[in-house]
Amino acid sequence: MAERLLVVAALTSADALAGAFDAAWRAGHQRLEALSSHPLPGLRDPSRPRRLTGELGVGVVVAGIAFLIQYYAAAWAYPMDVAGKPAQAWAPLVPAALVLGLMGAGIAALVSMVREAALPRLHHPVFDASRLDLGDEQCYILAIEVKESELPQLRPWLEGLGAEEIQEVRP
Amino acid sequence: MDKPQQTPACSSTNDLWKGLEELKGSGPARGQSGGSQTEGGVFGEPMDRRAALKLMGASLALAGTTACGRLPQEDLVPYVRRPEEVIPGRPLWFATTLTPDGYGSGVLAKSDEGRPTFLEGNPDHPASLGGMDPRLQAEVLGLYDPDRSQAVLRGGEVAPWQSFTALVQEIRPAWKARRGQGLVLLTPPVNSPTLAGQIADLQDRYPESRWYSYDPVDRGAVPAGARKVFGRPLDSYYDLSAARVILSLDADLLGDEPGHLRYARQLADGRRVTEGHSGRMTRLYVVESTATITGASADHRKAVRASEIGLVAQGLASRLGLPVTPGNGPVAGAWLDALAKDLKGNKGAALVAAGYAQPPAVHALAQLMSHQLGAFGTTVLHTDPIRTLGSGTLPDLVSAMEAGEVDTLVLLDCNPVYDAPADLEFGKHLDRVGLRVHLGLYADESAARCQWHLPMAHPLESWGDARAFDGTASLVQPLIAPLYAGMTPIEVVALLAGSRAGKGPRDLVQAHWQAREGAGDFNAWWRRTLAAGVAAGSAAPLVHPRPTPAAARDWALTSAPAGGLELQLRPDPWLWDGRGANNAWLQELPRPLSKLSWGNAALIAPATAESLHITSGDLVTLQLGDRSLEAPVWVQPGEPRDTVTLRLGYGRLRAGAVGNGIGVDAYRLRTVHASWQAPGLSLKRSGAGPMPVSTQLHDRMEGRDFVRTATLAQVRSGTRVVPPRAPRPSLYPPRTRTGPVWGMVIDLSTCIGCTACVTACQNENNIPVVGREGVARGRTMHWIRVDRYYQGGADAPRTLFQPVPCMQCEQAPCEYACPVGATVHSADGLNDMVYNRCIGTRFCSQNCPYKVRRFNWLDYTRAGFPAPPQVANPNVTVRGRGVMEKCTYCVQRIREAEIRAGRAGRSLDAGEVQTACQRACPTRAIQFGDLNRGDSAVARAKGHALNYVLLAELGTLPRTSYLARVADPNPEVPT
Amino acid sequence: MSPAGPGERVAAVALSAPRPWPWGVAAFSAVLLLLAYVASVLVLFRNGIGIFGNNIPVGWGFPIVNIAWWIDLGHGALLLAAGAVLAGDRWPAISRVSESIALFAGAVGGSFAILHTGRPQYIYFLFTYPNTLDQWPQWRSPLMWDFFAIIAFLVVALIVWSVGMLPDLAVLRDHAKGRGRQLFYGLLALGWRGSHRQWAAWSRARTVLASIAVPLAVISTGISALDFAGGISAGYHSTLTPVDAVAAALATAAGMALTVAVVLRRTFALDDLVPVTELETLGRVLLGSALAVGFFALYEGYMAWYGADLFDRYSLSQTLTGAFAPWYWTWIALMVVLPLSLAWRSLRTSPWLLGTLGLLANVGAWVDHYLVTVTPQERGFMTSAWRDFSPTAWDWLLLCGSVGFFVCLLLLQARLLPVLAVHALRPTGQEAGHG
Repeated sequence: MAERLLVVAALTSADALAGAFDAAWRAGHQRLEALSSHPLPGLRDPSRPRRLTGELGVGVVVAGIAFLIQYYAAAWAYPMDVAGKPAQAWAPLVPAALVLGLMGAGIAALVSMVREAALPRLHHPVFDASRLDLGDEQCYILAIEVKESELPQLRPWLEGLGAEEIQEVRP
Repeated sequence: MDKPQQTPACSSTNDLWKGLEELKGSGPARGQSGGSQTEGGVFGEPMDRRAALKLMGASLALAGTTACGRLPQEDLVPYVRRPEEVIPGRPLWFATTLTPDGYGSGVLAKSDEGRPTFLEGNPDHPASLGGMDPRLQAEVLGLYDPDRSQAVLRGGEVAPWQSFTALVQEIRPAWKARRGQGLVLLTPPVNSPTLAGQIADLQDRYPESRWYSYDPVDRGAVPAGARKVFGRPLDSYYDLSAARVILSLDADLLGDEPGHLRYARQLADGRRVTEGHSGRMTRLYVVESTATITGASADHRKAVRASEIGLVAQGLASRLGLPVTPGNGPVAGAWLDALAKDLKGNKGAALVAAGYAQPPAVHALAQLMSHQLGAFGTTVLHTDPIRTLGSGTLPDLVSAMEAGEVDTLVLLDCNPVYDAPADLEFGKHLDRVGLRVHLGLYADESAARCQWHLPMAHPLESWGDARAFDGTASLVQPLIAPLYAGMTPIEVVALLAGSRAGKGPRDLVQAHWQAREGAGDFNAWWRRTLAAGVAAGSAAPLVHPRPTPAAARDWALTSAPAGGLELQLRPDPWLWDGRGANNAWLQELPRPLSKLSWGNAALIAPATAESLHITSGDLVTLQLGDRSLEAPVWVQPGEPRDTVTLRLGYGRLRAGAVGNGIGVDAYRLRTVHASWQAPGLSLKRSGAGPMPVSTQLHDRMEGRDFVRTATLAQVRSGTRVVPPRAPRPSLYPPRTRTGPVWGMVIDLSTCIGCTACVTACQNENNIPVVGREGVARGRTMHWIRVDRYYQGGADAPRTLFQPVPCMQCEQAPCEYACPVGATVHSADGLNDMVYNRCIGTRFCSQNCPYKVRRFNWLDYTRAGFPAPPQVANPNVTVRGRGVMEKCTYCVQRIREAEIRAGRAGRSLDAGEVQTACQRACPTRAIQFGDLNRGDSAVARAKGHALNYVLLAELGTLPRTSYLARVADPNPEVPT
Repeated sequence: MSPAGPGERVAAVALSAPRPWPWGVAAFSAVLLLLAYVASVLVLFRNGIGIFGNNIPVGWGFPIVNIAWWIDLGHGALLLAAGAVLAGDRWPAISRVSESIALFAGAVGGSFAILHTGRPQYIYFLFTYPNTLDQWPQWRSPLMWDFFAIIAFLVVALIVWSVGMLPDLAVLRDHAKGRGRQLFYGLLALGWRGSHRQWAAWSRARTVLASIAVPLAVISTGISALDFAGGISAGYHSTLTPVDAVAAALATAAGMALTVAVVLRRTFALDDLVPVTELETLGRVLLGSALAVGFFALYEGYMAWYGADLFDRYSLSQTLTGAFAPWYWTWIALMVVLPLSLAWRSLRTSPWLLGTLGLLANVGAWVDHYLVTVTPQERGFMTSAWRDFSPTAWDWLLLCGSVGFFVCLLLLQARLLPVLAVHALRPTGQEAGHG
């Protein structure tokens, strides 16, 4: 089993990074990352975009639970004569259920982001690359995970793509 | 309410009190109250069964007093066997008598575990007929007043009773020797037969001793006027039930005349248009010098300066055919013509009453007019003077003191240093008396000027008796052993006379009545009278005087009133002559008309205020002769022009923590010869002061018909005052309720605005007082308020009253507003407050259109003037800080009745449950009961054409409704 | 050494002392006010809410006015922030400032929700928890809805704020000197490394959260308005109030965002990072919402008159010419008339004018809430119960204290966290404000 290592290439501009990313992707590299201090609109993200169903579902479920709890308390557990209104009246239970549902969806959104972004991961090998500094707007990094053996031909190829400096990071 | 005389339980509870009494008279008991040593008492005798029972009975009462934490160990006799008729948690009721205005008024006092907690009117007593007024109700708070004087004071230092008794024993021989010369007694006019007897006895022993009497609420004009007409002093009272047309000349028949509770009831019955309505209403004309509740319920009212009422009387008298110089006074002639016609048209059923503030001449005229109208013996009744007066008046006493004829002055239950006319300078002369002794409930202004102050027993701690306005005598019995070693005037007089011989006050009273009732089973009479609260057939015999032929001619015409401003002094409706000053309930209770609380003010008519360029809140300096007084102004619609009316009883210096420095002392402008009104008043604006605090700041209805009015014709035709409206559409199905549906109807035609209901509610429901600042902020806690609205011009407005408790709405907006369900409907449809659940969001009050909810903004059970815990109703929660509260329809009474009925396995009778306000109402204007029962009066009232609810358009479906106010004005009277 | 980039300059605000003198002055006075807040809360807990001017009929005084004011400011700010995201997420100041305002105003307002009750120690009765007493909240009460609305709002506002902050924290981390700070920001940044996947997940979350926040903000505003509109009192009972409230909240938030942004860019010399065009955008929002508020005011008055209800008409007359008129016209002036001046571009592009108008709009918003909360109760149905409300010193102290509380939170953020949304800043070279 050959040892895998991380090749970190610093590029000069957002467009260059985008180009390099595309090229590397087409060259068949699956495990690669484009790192930058701010989102890159130019970058075509090959990963499949997800739809809203997750958060929506959570929201609906939470709202439903909230409604049922209210209904149980108001009409079942302790029905009280309040202002002569029937205990089973459902309309007053809607607002709370609605806002709680939205809250649930919001929490769901946070959780799914944290999961997708694989956070928190306080240390990652790429941090060992000296050129990675998110404080610098000009930092455009392409990180490719390759086998030791692929390294020799990868370097010139990357330089051809306009990489300024190339480091290897061993995890 | 089980009435004592009906339950054998109470008729024999006197054993209980006999037991207590003997214990009280006995050594150790006196010891416990630091009192004088006297022989006898059950501890001396070998313990037989009766004595043991007595002890237990006594220990019950003592158990009550323990709550005051002042009883030493040795008197705490534990129950060996449970005393008869005493069930913990079941209150006992005793009939007794209170005399807040100098005349006896019968009450039933509730005793919880030996502790008096609540008062109700005694239905069998002629003066109350079961009604109450705030002054009576507040006595129960006064009993527990921590500021009451608690010990004998010698030169301001606490001394034991023995020291005083010893002193008396020491100087008695000297009195005997000098036949009592220099020994002087000052009392209020005496309405207690026993005390009168005691004093007579004293004067037998010391013939040279003198007895003077003085009443700040000076009713001297009444007998004086009678003397003008009949040649001898007489008292007169009225039978309003026999009257069809009533004219009051400055007589506050419903407010402060002796027997006002009875009058209120009789007038209300004559004006009631619901139950068994006769088709006519007693018509009431009032000519008065200041706005009173009597004027407010009148069909025709004229506000006339007190000094000019004589002219009005004269004008009317001439119209009635009396040989007096005709005239109109300030009143339109047509008005008087119509009035005279109305009176003449009802000969035998008409009467003319004159108020004590009017001069004798006016009383004489009133008597003559009544006679002219054939009222004597039917609507106007005469007796010999009810109260026994001393041989001299206060001025006589002062001149005697000046002449140095007084070396021992005993002040019994009076406070002349505060309430004597200023020009007498009583205090100054008092200091020249050798030995000065004061007996009173408080160590007040007079006590401070005496070497000796003796604590007086509160009426609820005393044995005694009192006569009512018609002479009916009733007994005063203690509900509790004296909290503070107090003695009754009877005891003190007996002590002075040396006739006490170890007799306790009960023995003294019994001795008097035994002598009077003479033969027969006195014990039975005694028990009967105690239980009933009235001495049967003791009313003063009626006399049927004829006017002396001269009378109609030679009576002094009231001197033509001087121009300019006039000062009018009147007793405060609640503080009276000042004796109520330290009672927080009375201080806070809004005055019926001005709605002022915590202080008096110079009441001035709007027009006068305008012409003087002053307004409410201004400070003015009132200058009368060489005396002046600075007072705040309150513009009061319905006051006559060019007068300034001040209420007495304020500005106390030594009333106690509550009453000190509240309001201004109007006595400082009072003189011997002008005790009620004085001309030549000058008024100067001296700046702006703090606004007098009032519980109602807006007087008008702004076109919203809270108080609906109707005419008698409408009632006869039976047209509904509010057309029935279709039920409002709702998304929700209506709730149908089985079982009792509690509801209330308040009859605005018979409500006289006396606010007795407010104090009764305060007493029943442990409602705190919030003090001056609280009221000023608008945080009054009263669960029921009496709104007062004016209609018509500000100078002669029509005054409308409306008691507003919680409406107990079927669809209560307060309930759905509460986030924690702290206010919800009970099974029987009451709008309940759950204090424990309340977190104080106050949304319920925000959403209450009637604004009947009250909030504990601060911890009123500790801050301000907390009521002593002993007076609290054990069946009602005391609310903590941050909790909402409101009228509950006296739910504790409902539940108690239900439990009682349930245990007896029967259903509730209609009208078995009575709320506190309903019981207290002297006119029975409040009906309460189960709406689901056709036989209940309230259900019938709900069906009446006059029935309507407040703010019906909001769809809250209130359970409390009103009967529109009906008036029957004389069509011939020009408006 | 190249001139410092925007990220570095934003980071410098948090990282490098000394700060400009206005900061010190602001911090000092804000802390003083915060102390006043704490002190009055202590007195409040000792003496009870009687220390305020409330009475019957006016059971709701300053504390409720303050809740409504702060919470609605928060709602509006959240709406603004969400809108900014949905509109392209390219305003460094609008995003960060409005997200912070939403959170902080929500927190301050929430504190009043507890302080105003008579028995704050039992506030937990509102929580829905099974208990042996079988006691449940009363779901029909708008206050109950509001309780949940506030909680939901606070949670979502916190999420939006922290998610937006995440990449910028990484920026601070990489600028931080010294182990302690690096550790601090490193932990906060959760190891963010700006990979294309993280950026994708992040911007997606931003969008999702925004599309949740918009309805939530609107509904919450409506619910807190229902605390009044749900009541039956004339002046409370109006179906228009909830809608009106949304517009007013947006205006308030735009105003507050303007004030904060203007002060921010001047104090920390970030003028070029927060271009006038961005302020102008806020100005447009303020103008628009102010117009809506004005329309609703007209409409409400018309309906009160047209409905011909005795009580509604009375409160209308009181509002226009009577006892409430001073309050009413102050509100109209501050919240409707003055913002109209922003219709002129020349005025709309003057930062100081924008900041001032923004602040005045907030004062106007407070007056508005006073007008809604207090005055209708002063002249309710029963004329016998009419009584004016007069605030006590504690009312004022707690109000000012809450402002101090709010400003303290803003200053703390300026001291520790990125004051602008770095991720929305374009690197030098690229033109700012372009996606």
